Amino acid sequence: MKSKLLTFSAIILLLISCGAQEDEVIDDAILQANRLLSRNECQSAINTLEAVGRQTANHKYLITLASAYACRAGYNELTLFTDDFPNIVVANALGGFTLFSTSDDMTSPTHSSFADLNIALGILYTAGGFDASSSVTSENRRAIFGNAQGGDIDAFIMYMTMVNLGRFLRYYGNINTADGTKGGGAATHDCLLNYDAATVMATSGTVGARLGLGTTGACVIEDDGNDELGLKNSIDVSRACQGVVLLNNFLDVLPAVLDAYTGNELAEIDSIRTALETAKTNVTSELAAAGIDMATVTSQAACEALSSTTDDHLEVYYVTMFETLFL
Amino acid sequence: MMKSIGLIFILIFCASLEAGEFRYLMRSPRGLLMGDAFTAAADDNYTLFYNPAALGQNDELQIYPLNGNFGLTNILDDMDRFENFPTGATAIASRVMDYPLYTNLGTTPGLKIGGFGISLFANSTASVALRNQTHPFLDIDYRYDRGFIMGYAHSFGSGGKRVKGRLTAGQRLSIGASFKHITREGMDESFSFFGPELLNAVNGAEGYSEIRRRLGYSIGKGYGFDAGAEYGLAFSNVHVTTGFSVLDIGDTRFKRTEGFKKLPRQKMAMNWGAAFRQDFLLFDYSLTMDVHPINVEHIDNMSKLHFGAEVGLPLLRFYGGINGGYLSYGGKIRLWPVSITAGFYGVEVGSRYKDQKSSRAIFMIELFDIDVDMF
Repeated sequence: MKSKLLTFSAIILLLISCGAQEDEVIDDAILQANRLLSRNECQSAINTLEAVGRQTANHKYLITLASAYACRAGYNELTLFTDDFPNIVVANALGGFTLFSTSDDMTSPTHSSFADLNIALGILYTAGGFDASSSVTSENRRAIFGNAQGGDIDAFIMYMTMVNLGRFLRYYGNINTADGTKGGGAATHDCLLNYDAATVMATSGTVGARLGLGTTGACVIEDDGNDELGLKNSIDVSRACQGVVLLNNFLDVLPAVLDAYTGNELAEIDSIRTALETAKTNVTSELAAAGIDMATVTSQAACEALSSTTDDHLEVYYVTMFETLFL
Repeated sequence: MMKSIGLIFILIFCASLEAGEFRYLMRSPRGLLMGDAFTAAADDNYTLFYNPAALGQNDELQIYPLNGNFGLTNILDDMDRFENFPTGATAIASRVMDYPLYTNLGTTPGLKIGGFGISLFANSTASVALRNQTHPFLDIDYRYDRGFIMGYAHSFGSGGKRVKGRLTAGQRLSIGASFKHITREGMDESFSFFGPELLNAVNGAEGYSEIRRRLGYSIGKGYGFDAGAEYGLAFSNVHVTTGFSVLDIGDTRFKRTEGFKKLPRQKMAMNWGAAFRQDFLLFDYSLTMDVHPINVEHIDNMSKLHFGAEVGLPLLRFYGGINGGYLSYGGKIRLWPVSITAGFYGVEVGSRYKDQKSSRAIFMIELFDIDVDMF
């Protein structure tokens, strides 16, 4: 009897001493973080997830980590769907974003709410282990995660880019807070950038000519932009690229996300799709002669590298995209 | 849009389950009310779901032809959350955020003849939790299992066996094994609340079944094995037992026959338990203790500790316990041919000790149970 009991005990000890299961540790961290985020304990959720190391191939980990930084940035998806989306209007495609409930959070170019949401977006842009300096697309991510998980990531990117575009345009656009129109605020500038009228555009001739077409809202003359985005012929490339990256990523995921939805939850966004896609086609044409496809640059590092010798293409991009879509 | 959000909330309340909890194939309502400290005390119709070796203490013919149990979230324990319930989607979401909802419905008719036992079972368990205010996730774990389990225990010695209503003095070591076949229907998924997968599942769906199918509800079949050992010592009116079991050795996996998503495995669980019982003819009591699931590392060790107690009087039995830090209590009334068990218990649905309690109520009815001495 004693020998049987000893054998029995040895088997128990052997079984108990099995090694730790890494997947369970990660799943546990994700569960803990989501519970913390239920109580808006953003930093604790970040710490919990960062403690197990970045899991670049784990879709739920990445979305939860992004949501933890988004939490710190004041982002809330329920508010976005129920209160913010109805502000989007066809007549001012991007202007509606400036009226989102979180758009007035940004009070400086380096404000934490804007920076944290960019961190969240960066986590998702590079989901799958991509280098932050390369322009990753929705298609690249879906090749790794598949359509279901890739679609989930794209949808989250779309929602967050809209929120940060709202902040970016509201901060730099001198808006009328009643209706979100550009140049209607207390400051004196009517444009985003301080343009040089002589900057060449492939189809419009020059930036000056483009501003004279009457399709750029209150922004109709050169050198009438926000100085925090740089002075005429001396654009702050880093800040200007933040806008480029946000809008390009938004345009990258937009078709795939809208095509995947069968309901009307995103009807407001669908209503501005044509204007956005037309502007994207136009900017590609305007820069074709220069051999720069700014509309596909989805990385901050890539955008800054592309603008290291000249910033003329940033002017062309802004006048064709932002000034036309944000009136 | 609001309609879709509303439908999703209906889905939450119509289904049921939660993440983070270790899910056994079936649990005895009596065991749950004893703090789930039941591995060395499982002498009811759920024996095979705890330790096949526990069949070794049976020397009777026991038949459990009709029974059913029903469990659900005990909202009485959190009434503040449901008072002045809001109507807006955002407000509803905030109110139910991180609140685990649970339902269970099951039956397990079976019989035991000496060291042999067989049970049929059908058990539906569902948990739903909405988590993360920033980017809400809807965690859905739904399982509907049906099948049979059969096992046998071989005993060395006869200590603790009950013959003609009296305990046999002496020692006993029983070794047991069981085999089961399970058809599992269900899903264990986490959905972004505003992601395309969940919203598309709700849009245009004709009823709950279609939503479920679109979300990846699948069906599969699997075979599983359990093994265990139990040592018993009896003298005078005292019976002491200790047992160890490994359920679903190497995980019970399911081969999918319908659907497009992987079915949740029945994960392996190692369990140890001990029980001390004393019987005074008109009055008896038991004290029990369990440690389980021993092998699951991400569950806090304190949450693996279970303590239970049972007091028996003619026609009535009372149960109490501590289930991983949470109180459980209830009772049973037996007026043959009907027995009714009811009570409340708490269970850990987070992964740390006293992290998140799910408060539940359970009710069970048994009809025409028969115990007959074989010798």
